[in-house]
Amino acid sequence: MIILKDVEAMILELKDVTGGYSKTPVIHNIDFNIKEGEIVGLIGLNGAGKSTTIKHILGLLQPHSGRIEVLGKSITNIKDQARTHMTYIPESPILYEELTLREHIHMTAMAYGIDEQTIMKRADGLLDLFRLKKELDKFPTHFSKGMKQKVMLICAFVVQPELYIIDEPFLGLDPIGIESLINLMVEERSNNRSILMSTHILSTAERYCDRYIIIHDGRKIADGTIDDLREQTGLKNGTLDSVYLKLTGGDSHVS
Amino acid sequence: MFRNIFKTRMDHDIKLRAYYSKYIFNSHFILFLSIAAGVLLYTLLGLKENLAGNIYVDLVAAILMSVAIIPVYRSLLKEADVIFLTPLEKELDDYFMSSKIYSFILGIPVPFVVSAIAFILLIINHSVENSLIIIFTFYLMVIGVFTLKVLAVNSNISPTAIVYMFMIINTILLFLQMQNMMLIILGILIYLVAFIILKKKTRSSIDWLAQIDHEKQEQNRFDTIISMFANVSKRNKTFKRRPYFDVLMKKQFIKHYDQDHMYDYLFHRSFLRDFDLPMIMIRLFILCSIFIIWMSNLYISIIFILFVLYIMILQLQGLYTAQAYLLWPKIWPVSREKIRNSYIRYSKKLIIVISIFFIIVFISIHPAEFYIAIIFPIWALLINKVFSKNVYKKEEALSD
Repeated sequence: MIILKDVEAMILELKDVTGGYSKTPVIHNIDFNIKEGEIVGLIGLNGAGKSTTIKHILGLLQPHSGRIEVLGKSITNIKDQARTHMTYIPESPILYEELTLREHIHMTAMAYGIDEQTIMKRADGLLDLFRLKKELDKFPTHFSKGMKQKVMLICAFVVQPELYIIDEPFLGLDPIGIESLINLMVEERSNNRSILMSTHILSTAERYCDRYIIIHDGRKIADGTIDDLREQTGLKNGTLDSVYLKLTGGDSHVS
Repeated sequence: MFRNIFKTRMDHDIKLRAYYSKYIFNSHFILFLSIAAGVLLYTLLGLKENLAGNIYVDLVAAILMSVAIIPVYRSLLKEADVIFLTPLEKELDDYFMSSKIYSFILGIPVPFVVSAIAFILLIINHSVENSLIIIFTFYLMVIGVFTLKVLAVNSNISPTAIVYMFMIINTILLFLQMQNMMLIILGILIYLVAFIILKKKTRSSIDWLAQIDHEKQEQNRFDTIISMFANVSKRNKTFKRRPYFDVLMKKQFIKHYDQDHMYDYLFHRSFLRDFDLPMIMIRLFILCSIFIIWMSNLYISIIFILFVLYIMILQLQGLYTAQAYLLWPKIWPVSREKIRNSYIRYSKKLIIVISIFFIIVFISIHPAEFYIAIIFPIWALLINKVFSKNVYKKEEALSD
């Protein structure tokens, strides 16, 4: 097995990726990277290609052309190994109806090769943080949408991978849940772990993301820090919202 | 116009049934059914001489006919209809009339087959004319229970309760009629009274939520029956916790906490918490055991155990299919081979346990022929291998 972490490289790198669900491409020549300890926001309208990009990174879709690398190795050659370095939180919670919350944690641990003692120790803090300790032996399918999303978050953060891929992280969470998640993301960043999150809550993204990748009509139209984007648009004190509107030509509905 | 909506939905439903029938009634299954029917007919005709005058034969015939009256009512309504069709409620008479005719036709095959078996039982104690009158009464009951069920769906009375209540009433009525043909009048009276009461309890307008909910239940029942013989691809599997099974999922049973065995862990829980699967298996085992003990015929025992094992193993494939297409196995850093290996390991274990139960029943009925029981696990493992190969092939084709 190749120990990917030994390789001096970007955590994630997309090189000129064109792809989609069928032969007609949805995303075109997407190019970006994520470094160690970075929170990167993936921003775009409905149908802009954010989810398609994420599906390519996860290996659920094969690019028509271009290359996706995780820690310097192409994911097409080392799909399963690449996945050991990332966890994914989908936009809508996807859970096993037949498993309790504890059993979801066990499944995650077995999948990522973490022993039972370690996983339960890590889960303990997360269960406290998201106030789910009492629900450990219950079926998450009976939980509210926000609680289900918290289960997804616990199962992802318990792994402590190099890269988190989070699709709309704040969707369905209550204000305390959002605050807890932000704290967790900031803490993970300080532990040199990276996060790629697609979001439409630009005001929150602006406070915590180090960098933004803006996708429009399947193409990357901007990539940089908020200062880079301000410079690119000429909006000196612009917010991420106004910068975004300027970049996309006035489309006001971001999602 | 609304007849056309129903026709479109009906055509789709018929297509679906034809699609599954193609898989269910394959050459092996037809051969199997023919042998089983032949042996059953031979045994029933053989019983004719020995059982003449035995009142229990009448009782068995009455029970058999009564339990066969489980009418199907498929309105084919969809959830969106509550929004789009509600304003047009008064123009939907054609739609509902067509749905009643279609539903009644759908429910006829089972009573038809049962009436043939019941007729053989009836002529043991009754003249052919009287037997035909009883069969005629049986068909009147089929129409009667169907009518009452349709009324109940649109009332606050449970259609299931009506069906089960009339199962008991029909058993009594049929049995009494077998003793005195004039008692057919009592049956007609009871049905008339039930009809009048239910008609009064029925809402004057359509209870859309109840109708749609009932349609969902009927669809689920159809899927459950079909899944006994074939894989239902779009089936929404439901699960429930049975606390008495929790003991089988205790922590000490997790011997291997690793990637290789994670799907064993999942399959075990999927099986024990499946809404239908474990209960269907237990019911099939009990029914098969009762039947073969009652018949006490070596050939019937062998054929029925092999047949029930066939159905049980076909059901098991759903466990693998459900996992193979989910998102998480595609996200986790675990090779898909491991899902397959886990399924092979887990299904083998389960099959051996089921076979052992059948071996115990078989040996207790036919102790002298105990050695024959070895064919049950061999057959089960072989069938499992064949079915699994088809499932893997289908999965590979889809993932390509």
